[in-house]
Amino acid sequence: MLKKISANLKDYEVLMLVIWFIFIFVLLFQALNINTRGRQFPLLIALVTLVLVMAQSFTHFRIACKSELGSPVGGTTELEDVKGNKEEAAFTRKRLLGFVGLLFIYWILIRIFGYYTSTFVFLAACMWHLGYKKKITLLITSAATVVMIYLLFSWAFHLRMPQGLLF
Amino acid sequence: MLEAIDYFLSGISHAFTWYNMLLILVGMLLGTFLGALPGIGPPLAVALLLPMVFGMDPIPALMLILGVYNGGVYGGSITAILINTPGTAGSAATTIDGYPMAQKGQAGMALGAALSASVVGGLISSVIFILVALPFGKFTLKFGPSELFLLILVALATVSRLAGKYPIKGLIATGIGCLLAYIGFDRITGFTRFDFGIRLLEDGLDLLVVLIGWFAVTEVMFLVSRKTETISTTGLEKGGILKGVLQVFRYPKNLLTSSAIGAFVGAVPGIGMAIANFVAYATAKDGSKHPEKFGTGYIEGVIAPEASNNAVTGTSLIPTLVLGIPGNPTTAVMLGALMILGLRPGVGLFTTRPEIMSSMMVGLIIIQFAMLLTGLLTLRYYQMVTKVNIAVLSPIIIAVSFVGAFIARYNCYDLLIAVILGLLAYGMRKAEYPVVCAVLGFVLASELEVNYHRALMASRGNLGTFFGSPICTVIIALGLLVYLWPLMKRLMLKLRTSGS
Repeated sequence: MLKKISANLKDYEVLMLVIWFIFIFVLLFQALNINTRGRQFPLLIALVTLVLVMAQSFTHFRIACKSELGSPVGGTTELEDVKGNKEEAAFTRKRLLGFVGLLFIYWILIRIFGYYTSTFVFLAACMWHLGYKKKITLLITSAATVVMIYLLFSWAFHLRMPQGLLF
Repeated sequence: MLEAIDYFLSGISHAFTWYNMLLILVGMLLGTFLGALPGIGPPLAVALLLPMVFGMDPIPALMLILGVYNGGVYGGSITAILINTPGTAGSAATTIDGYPMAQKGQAGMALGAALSASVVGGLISSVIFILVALPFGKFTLKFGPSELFLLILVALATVSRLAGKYPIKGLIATGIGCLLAYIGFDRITGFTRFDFGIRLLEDGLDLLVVLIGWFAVTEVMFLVSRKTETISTTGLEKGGILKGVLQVFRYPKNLLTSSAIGAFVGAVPGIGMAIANFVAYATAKDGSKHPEKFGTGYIEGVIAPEASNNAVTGTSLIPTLVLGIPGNPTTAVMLGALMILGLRPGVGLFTTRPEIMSSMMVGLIIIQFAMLLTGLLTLRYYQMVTKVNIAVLSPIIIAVSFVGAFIARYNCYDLLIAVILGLLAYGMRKAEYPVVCAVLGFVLASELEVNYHRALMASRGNLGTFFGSPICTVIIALGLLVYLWPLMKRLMLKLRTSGS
């Protein structure tokens, strides 16, 4: 049972439907605490969207049940990726998950070290992760990008950049 | 009419100086560059200029500002085409066909078409500004909240045309976009909604942050999950820019209709170019001989939004200068600039400082040609972006986008929101939900609600206010036509085929 649920959640179509259901129900629940005038539009739109999500779920599962494989129709799914080329799917997943992880680390680094230092580290680490292995070029490109951003935003336009706890 | 032309001619001597020409060129280059940076956009680009124009003579200062404004609007399309990240909401619809063209190695053609369409849109808008600034300015005063509510409702009809193969998914995406727009302060009651007790969400989600998340972060995620080394999977087409510039004139109907839509939307205060580009795209798709090609990298899909968003620039000055009511955030900053320069916007400006108004009119026309010139000179370098290694390009896009997301409100948590929204949009795109529909919902939702409540408050709860005025009747008729047009088109086709 758990395996089936986990396999279904790997399918973006199902995953998005689950997200929409949760999001709309949370908003509907929250809407009860808002005054009448403030909740009119959100409530109306949430209910209409809920009906549409239900209709989409019904259509999706009806087609999925009909098809022999049980794989959903419409939407690029993770299952299709795996079926197409297991190695490529694994490569994509690894690259993507690593990149998303780096994004979150980048945000945390900005909070600690400020924008410029973190950006240099992020650029170098990200390029390396994405397969750019020429160390010198990688470091020069990262440094040059940071300098360009500094010259444009801080020096020319006097814009305040994200500051961290240390810098 | 003759009076307007006289007025225009008198401005030539004031505007046509070498100094002004140079400032227009500088403004155009600066505006295009800043507009192309995700998150900067025309309002911030113009705002950044304010300290520089302080102390300058009004005419050269206005030339510089107008150059940046027009360049900024056009610049937004460059990133929309090259990296699927619109510089402004006004270029969001350009991504639908512009980016697929870039992927096919036709970045130059798409950029050229966007340039040419922008110039034509800007020219038409400038001519309208020159001819009808005064009378139309007074007419737009008749647009109250009920008229604006109905107009936005008509604009929502475009959702069905943007959704492509899955209309239900398009509607769901629009609903989700609307619901996200309701997070934060309710502009009518002043209370916060859906903030989940998180202080950051009390102010709601900033449009810029949403655009960066939904386009820049998502697109980079798609780029890194690809095995190809560059955005363009084929080589760059030679001579594409000029080809694109000329191709635009093969679609005069699309060009004129889209420019007219942009010009009209620009003149009505409170409706932004975000609406203009979507409505123009949907209208172009409806009227095209090849609607099935839209969304696959079709040049008409670039022409429509680009002609319309630049057509907004000229006419958006009508309410700003004639009534002192800014039509969009950029003209609001411009209003501030005018005051810094010691000018008081209003009908009186036409009589007290006629040289200012007339030189602005001439300046607007010159700016369009300056845009063509700077575009032709610089676009070949911009299109190289599609040949840069994705491993190098992706982190740079993120680093620059993070600056844009941060300076929207100077809040570090906005960066986190952009990443989370990016992840959401990644899932949406994987499941084939059209993200542009969500953008449309996000842009329109709060305006729709605010104008609805304002109209009811003004009429003391009388729903008849939405049907009362002649303008409302015209908008409702137009809306019915827009909503029923696909049905009518199918019916006419059926009748024609059964007849033959």
